Amino acid sequence: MKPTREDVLISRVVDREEAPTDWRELDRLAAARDGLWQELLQALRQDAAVRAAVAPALAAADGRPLPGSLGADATPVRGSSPSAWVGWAAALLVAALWIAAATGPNRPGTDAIAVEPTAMTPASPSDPSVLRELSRVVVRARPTDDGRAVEVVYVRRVLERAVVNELYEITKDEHGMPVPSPIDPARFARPSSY
Amino acid sequence: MTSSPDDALLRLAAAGDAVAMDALWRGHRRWVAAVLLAHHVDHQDLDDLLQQVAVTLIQGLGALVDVGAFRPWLRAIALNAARSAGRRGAVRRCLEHTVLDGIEAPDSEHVDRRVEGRDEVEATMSQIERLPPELREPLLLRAVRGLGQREIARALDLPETTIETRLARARRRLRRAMAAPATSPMTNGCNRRTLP
Repeated sequence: MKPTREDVLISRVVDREEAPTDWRELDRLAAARDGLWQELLQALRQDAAVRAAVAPALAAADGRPLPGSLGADATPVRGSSPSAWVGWAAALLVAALWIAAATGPNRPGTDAIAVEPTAMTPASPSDPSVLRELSRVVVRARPTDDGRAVEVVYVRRVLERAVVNELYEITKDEHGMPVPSPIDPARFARPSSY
Repeated sequence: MTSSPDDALLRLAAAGDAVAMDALWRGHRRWVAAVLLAHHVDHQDLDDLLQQVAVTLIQGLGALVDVGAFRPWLRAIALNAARSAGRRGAVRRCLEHTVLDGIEAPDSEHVDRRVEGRDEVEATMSQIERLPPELREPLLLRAVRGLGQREIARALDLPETTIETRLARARRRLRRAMAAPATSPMTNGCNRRTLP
C-alpha cells in the first residue's frame, strides 16, 4: 500500500527533512481537507513517544563499551549471572587477542611487542584470598617517542576469593539513580570447585 | 556507494588501530541497539547481544573488503545475534515491556519530555509491535539521534526513497491505529508473534 502525498509530507515534517515547498504544499492540502493539521500533530506526538520508548535501549548501548576498552562510559560493575561474566571474560580475551594481533611484529608501523602472560601463576602467595592472576589484557600499545620500545597499557586481573555476609548489586531506584540492593545468597548455585 | 566520514575510521580500525575501533563502536552502537530492539530483543538480552556484536565487529572487521558496506555488514551481525538469541530460546518479553522499563527515569537525557505519560508510550509501542519488520525497523532507527534517512538507507542497504516511503507508511499506520477504537484488550503482545 503506497503512502499518500499527505503521508509523505507529514513524515518529512516529523523527520525535519521537509523543504520550504513541502510546507506550501501541505498548507494547500490542509485547506482542502479538514483534520490534516491534527494528523500532523498526532504524528509529532507519536514520534516523541517512539523516541521515549527507544531511549532506554539507547542508554544501554551508551553504557556498553567495546570489550577490553577502558572508556569513561563503562557502566559500574553490576551483579549478574556467572554466564554473563564468562561472556565478558571471553570478550576481553578476544579484545586482547585482536589488539595483540594488531600490534604484533608482522604489522607495519609497529615494533615488536612482548607481553608476558602470567596466567596460572600465584600473584601473592602470602594473601590467601588471591587464587591466581589471570593473563593480562592489553588495551593499548604504541611506540615510545624514541621508537626503541613500546609503551603498553594493560589490565592485570587477579582472581580472588572472599567470604562475605552481605552482597549487593547496583540497581536503579524509582528516579533512575544507581543504588545498592542486597542479593539473596540463595540466588547463586553452589559452585563445584574453582 | 559514496564514501562517508566513517571510511577513514574504518580503514584505521580494520588495520588494527584500537582507538579507531573504539571510536567506531561508539559511533554505531546506538543504532545497533535500535536494530536489536526492532527485532524483538528483550532488554535483559540487549546488553549481552550488544557485547556479541562488538566482539564480532572486532573479530571480523579486518576481513571486510568494502568499507562502504560496513553498515549493512554490522546490521547483519546484529540480526544474526538477535536470531541466535531467539533460537536459543532465551527469555523474551514483548517490546512494550522492554522499552518501558526505564521510561520513568527523570534524569535520562534521552527521554523526550514532550511525551505526556507512560500510557501514551505504551499504546504507541503496542502498535509498533504490530508493524511488519520492514516498517518497524526504520521507524525505530529514526529515533536514534543523528540518524537521518540517508544513514538508515545505508544501514539497510536500500534507496533513500524507499526509507522515506516506509517511514510514511509506518506513521500512517500508527495514526490510523491510534485513532481507531481498540479491537482487542491492551495486553502485552508477547504471544502475538514470534521472533523472525
